Amino acid sequence: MTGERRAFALVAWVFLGGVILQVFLAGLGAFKVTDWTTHAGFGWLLGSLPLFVLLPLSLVAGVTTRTRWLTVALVISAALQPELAHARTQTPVVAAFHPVNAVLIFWLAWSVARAALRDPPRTATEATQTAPPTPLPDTKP
Amino acid sequence: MARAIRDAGLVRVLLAVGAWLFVACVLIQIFLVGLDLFAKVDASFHRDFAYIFGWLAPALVLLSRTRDVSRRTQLLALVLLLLFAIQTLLPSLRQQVPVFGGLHTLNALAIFGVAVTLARRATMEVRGSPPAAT
Repeated sequence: MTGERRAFALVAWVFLGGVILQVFLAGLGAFKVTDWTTHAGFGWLLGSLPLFVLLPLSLVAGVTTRTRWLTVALVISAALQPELAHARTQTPVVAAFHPVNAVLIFWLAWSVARAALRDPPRTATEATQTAPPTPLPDTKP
Repeated sequence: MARAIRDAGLVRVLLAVGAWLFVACVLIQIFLVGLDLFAKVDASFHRDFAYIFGWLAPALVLLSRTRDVSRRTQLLALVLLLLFAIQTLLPSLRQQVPVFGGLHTLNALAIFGVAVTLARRATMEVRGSPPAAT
């Protein structure tokens, strides 16, 4: 496993752990054990990880195309999450999808974290598949 | 269609359908939490809906108790029932231990994860292919 792949796997698992902690903080907020500022503050920190760390790492870590697309989906759903919460004043029904999107984030984070460990290392065959095609040899007699 | 169901075994088909229905109900249930938090819809909808679809959990355990269903799938159905039972207890336990309120949402994630895994395995068993290790 290359250093880039190790870093990608580490960040993916740290992010998954962060999502679990964030869901726990939401529970504490919902049952009025703590106020919502902890959940909101941690959310901003956590939400920046997929875009600024995980996505760039996915481009250099040699993961499969599927894993890269899963990371893109994770970036989009994480970016959407605070916007859904903000929608509560204008469109509360849309804001109600905030916890549903949290489940989607959890599922994507889980899939990316597992793929980071399971994806086969990029082989020479894959590397040539993505490289520009080599010109055919001259067939003229 | 009818022949496919007969070939796969009606009980296994019912298990797969029931498991996916349970997943859908969990998502609706989480949406109802959102409505309670953001749209100030009465929290009783969330509570009552849990008691409506909660009957699926023991039904899935019963359906999984056939020879055609793998032991791992049977175990998943049992774990799902256990997690669901714990879920109904956690809100009332928070009076004594407030941190159990936070565990209610975490357990919801676990229920979702186990339900999706069960549904995927049950579907693969209907199709006849050996389920991938998860």
